[in-house]
Amino acid sequence: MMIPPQKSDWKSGIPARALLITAFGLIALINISRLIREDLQLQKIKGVQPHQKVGQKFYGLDKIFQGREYVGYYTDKDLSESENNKQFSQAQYIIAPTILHINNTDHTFTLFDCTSEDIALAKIQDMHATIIQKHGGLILTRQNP
Amino acid sequence: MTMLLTMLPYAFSLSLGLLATQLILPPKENCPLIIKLCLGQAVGLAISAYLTFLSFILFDQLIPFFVIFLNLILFLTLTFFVATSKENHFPKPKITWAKTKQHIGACLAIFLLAFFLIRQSNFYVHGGWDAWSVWNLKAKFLYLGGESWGNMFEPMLWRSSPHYPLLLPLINVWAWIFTQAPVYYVPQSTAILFSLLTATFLYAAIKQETKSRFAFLPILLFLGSPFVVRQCISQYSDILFAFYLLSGIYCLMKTKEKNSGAFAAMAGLLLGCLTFTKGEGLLAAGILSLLFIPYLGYKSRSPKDAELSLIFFTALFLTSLPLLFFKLVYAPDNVTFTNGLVSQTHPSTLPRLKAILIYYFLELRHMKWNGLLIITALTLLIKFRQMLNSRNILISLFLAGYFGMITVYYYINTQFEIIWWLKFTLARVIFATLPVILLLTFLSLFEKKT
Repeated sequence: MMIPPQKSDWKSGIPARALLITAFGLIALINISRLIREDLQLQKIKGVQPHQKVGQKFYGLDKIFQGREYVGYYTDKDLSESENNKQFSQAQYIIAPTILHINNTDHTFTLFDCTSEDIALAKIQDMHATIIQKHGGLILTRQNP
Repeated sequence: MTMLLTMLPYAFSLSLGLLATQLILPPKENCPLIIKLCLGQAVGLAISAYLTFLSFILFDQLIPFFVIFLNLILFLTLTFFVATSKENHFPKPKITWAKTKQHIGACLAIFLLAFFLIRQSNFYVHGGWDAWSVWNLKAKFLYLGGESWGNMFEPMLWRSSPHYPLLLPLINVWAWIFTQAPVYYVPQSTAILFSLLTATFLYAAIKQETKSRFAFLPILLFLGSPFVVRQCISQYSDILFAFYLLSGIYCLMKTKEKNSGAFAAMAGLLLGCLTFTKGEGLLAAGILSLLFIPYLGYKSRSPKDAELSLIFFTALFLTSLPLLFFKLVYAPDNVTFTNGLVSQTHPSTLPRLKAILIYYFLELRHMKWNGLLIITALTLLIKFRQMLNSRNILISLFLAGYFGMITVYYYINTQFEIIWWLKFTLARVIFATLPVILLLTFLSLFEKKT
């Protein structure tokens, strides 16, 4: 008696499904092992620095600028460069809702963030402004009335 | 005490959202409890955010008392309706061991991976670059700006994309009302919450549709990926986009399957919220709106199709009103757009298009995905027929349309150098649609042959 041909397992798709599920499972395992490894590395970093710091050198300025809509931000740094842009964005975040007005020195307060202190001091002298505080490469000035 | 104050707005919004969900999806719709809980949380937070936005529209500033008052009034109103409704009451939960044990694997997966998600988030407390330069910056303007909150639309803040919608910042502002300070753990909590909601919803949707014992696998793929975890905790609006898109598509599928006006309304609501997450949200909701009517009629027409369409578009319109208002009254023009089709200095060229297509291929193979996208693409190729069945075709066409439009946008907008732009954005575009891609993949993979 002729045995009717069996429907191929490949046609029914079952081995294909099992293979794909296995592939996804392997990817998940590899991912999770990498996740655990990254977590362990992160725990080591946490021993030195408990968490991410954003705009640390601008901390406290938000209290000084409270109630002010605009503050000048004078810089000779190229803000199209990633690191300078990042620092500026972090500064803006810390002091928000006060807006940092780039290279505008007409406001009561101006924050100087220059490549060297000499450049900042030269501009401050030019403005006849008063230095209020210096911290971490930043100089905060106030316009004389 | 601080922890309690942080959790309170989320818990309150959950209650609000569950009441709203119960009214929209009554017990007769047989929506699984897990899905209702996820929807309740996301819908509740969106409602609270919209009510917060109302404060800015009416008084041009944040009035915390007004926002809390509105939320309470709405909560009491919804409680009254649910309590007095015969068909919208909360049914007694029928929790049995037989029903619970099938979810144990998923629960363990979520708890385990949530542990790593929270640990990473506890280091990157301020999120990624766009968190402090865009989303949390906007939230600070809304929360602290008083009557000057609108300064966030100033042209000199172009780096913060002032034309972006405000759902995520408003959710964070709502939570800050309770903590009374713009504390970093609120945006952190929002990011973690939506990540877990997305993973849970993905599991629940696949489990409900396929009953497969491997339905927990997408959770491992989503929350187990180091790259995806980094995106989840970055505090961007991408994870909100991911959830509202996933849940909106699921509800559209249920609308067709059950001929259900309730799911049509919920789909409209969720896609309305999607429009307020980010610019791509409006694009995604637009594509789904265009596909909805043909999808309803695909392979099975029903006399209720017109009614379902009306319900869906009405719900979508109502919940898109905040976006409409935002665009008409507040949002400045997008200054980061140069039309390469007409620009003499930055034209859209064939090499630009080639670069985009080649980059897509390179992104598929990139190590950050660990082969996930390749295996996913392979699965969809093998299960091509299932991709085009009457249930899944919506997702297939949506993904084709969405990525098609994204490609067009990359090609036409020549403001940015293309490789740089793709490097910083394409992976995030894929991340935001990954839950939907996984939904399509696993629905197709686990589909039983009839």
